[in-house]
Amino acid sequence: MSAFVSVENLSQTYTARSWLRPGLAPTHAVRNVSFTIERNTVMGLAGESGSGKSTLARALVHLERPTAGEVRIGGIPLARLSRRGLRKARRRMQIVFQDPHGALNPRLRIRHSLGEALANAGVPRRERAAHAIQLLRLVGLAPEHLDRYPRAFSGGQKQRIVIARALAGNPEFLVLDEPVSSLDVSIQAQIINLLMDLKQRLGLTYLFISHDLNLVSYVSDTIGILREGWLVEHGPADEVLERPRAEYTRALFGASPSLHRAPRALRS
Amino acid sequence: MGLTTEQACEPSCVLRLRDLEVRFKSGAHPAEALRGINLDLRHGEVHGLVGESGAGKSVLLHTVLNLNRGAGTVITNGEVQYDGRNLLALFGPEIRRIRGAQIAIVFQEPTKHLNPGLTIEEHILDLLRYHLGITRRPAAARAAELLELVELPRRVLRNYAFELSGGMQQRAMIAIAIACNPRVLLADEPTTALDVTVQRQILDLLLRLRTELGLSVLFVSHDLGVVHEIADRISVLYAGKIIETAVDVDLFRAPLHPYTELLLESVPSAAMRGRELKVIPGAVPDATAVPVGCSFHPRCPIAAERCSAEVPELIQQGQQHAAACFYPGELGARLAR
Ligand SMILES: Nc1ncnc2c1ncn2[C@@H]1O[C@H](COP(=O)(O)OP(=O)(O)OP(=O)(O)O)[C@@H](O)[C@H]1O
Ligand SMILES: Nc1ncnc2c1ncn2[C@@H]1O[C@H](COP(=O)(O)OP(=O)(O)O)[C@@H](O)[C@H]1O
Ligand code: SF4
Ligand SMILES: [Mg+2]
Ligand SMILES: [Mg+2]
Repeated sequence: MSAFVSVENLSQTYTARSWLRPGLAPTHAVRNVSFTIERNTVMGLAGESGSGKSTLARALVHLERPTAGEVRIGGIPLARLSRRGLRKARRRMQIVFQDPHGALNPRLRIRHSLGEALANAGVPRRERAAHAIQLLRLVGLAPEHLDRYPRAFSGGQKQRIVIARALAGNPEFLVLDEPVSSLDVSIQAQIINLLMDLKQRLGLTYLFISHDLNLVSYVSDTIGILREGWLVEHGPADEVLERPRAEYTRALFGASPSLHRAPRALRS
Repeated sequence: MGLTTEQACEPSCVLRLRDLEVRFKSGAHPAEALRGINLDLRHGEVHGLVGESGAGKSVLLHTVLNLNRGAGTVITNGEVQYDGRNLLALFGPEIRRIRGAQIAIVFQEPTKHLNPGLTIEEHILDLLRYHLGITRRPAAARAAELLELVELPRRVLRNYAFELSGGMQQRAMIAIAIACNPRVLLADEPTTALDVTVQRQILDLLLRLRTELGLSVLFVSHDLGVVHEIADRISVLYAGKIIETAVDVDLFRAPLHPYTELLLESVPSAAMRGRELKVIPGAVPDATAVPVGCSFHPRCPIAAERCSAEVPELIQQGQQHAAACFYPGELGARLAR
């Protein structure tokens, strides 16, 4: 059986079309990247700022059409889909971004934010209220939250709502682009536990993007490391953690601050 | 014995905060940003201050240099003792003589705090002229020396901040901060916006400067790992109060306050793979609505009746370790009951 997500030779190149600077060199944000993700597993993707993580995420779900390469999700090649087909397929794959504050319309009550997503997912109007309550429960919120506006929620609660909304169309695949980076340390663990629990209960598959190597080490079954658009490392998490193939991976993990390192006083 | 008593502060301290309170009055509810801070920064030490967003980390650093500005009124009580004086009692010109010369500060976003119209060299020359009265030629030599100290190429002197990468901006900011040979460096999340490899370089740089220049550093971060990497001693800030202070090793090996202990166990890592992370329920309280009694009690899994009525003081619990909890070190035992 083939993998649930398969990415082959994916590239994304941005050519600045600026009349001011016509000779500008194109940016190769993602370069010839290939990998697969098995169903109900987590692939962690790490790399420094500007390495192409978010670009890869957008190209993967065809929010932006990639310059080259092929993506198959559940065996379906996304490139062959019409715009309408793509919209339908996209319900089954959702992106959750870093900043929950910008992700929710401040003028919509939660009931309506979720209602919109449920409508897009083809849930009939009279069933939406019940579905919305189910979604809130799934992410650890209560029915009385439905009639509030986003401003009444903390960052962690907003991220729960964003996750609930992403789950509206019964997706199978979530791309999580730095889903906890903007949250407080004590709130991050709540959301990480929630995501891992949902993955188990709903049989979800994740591409989990983070610049935090400790977090990536914790959540991932397989780990990929991007550097300047290249996937310089990719393999089972244990192997990448214990025997990384790229020198760069070693450097990255070596530089990453860790609570489990001996205190400085006890090191050399 | 509390840290508040006079004999508890050692002669080796360069900076002492005593009963520091800062309140911002605007709107119906005042924000209680700092609620009685006592902290000793010892000579040559890196003191790490960790806390989640809104805990009061930035306000604390700003208060040391009298930099707090509010939309409404800022009410400050307590003392910042430095060199035999209370900095909070100084007039504008007096504090400006100290700020940047004896006590310098570096920020998370250098571009916000550097003048976009001045080159790095002009920043340094201005400081040297203002504080030390050094004329242009020797000042230029000093500027070149500073760049070497922070491992930047000399050409950076003629650059504007926006022309530099994030890591270079932070090095430049550090060069400017140490220009007048300060005794104390305040660092407000100076590596938070940087990639791990660059962050590591900046942490190493600060540690080297500490040794070479005999700096004392108050280093603020929300990241426990970063503070563990750089600090000799750590204070944990929660809702405007220090709830635990210890030597780095002790804090990580044997935390006493439930908040510290849970926070440490909520950090994901390779070592935690396959296990559920510990979670602290609820959220950080807002400074306009700090819970009475122990401010952590609504989230504390072992909170008892007295916790919501009385305020636990920061009490010494053995050598160089203090915690503000009625049941220090009892989290595990009390949960097991
Ligand atoms: N729409 C665009 N037009 C032009 N260049 C772009 C565009 N989007 C991204 N880039 C460039 O592509 C490269 C990769 O950017 P990307 O946002 O994917 O990085 P990232 O790994 O997500 O970084 P971060 O960790 O900062 O989020 C960068 O050089 C970026 O400037
Ligand atoms: N100028 C101000 N006016 C009103 N409230 C403020 C002001 N500056 C900070 N505060 C409040 O004081 C508390 C502590 O803020 P701060 O020190 O910035 O936290 P952090 O620990 O994230 O650095 C927060 O609740 C913040 O909203
Ligand atoms: S004083 Fe009480 S509520 Fe506060 S941390 Fe200790 S046990 Fe918990
Ligand atoms: Mg990104
Ligand atoms: Mg701050």
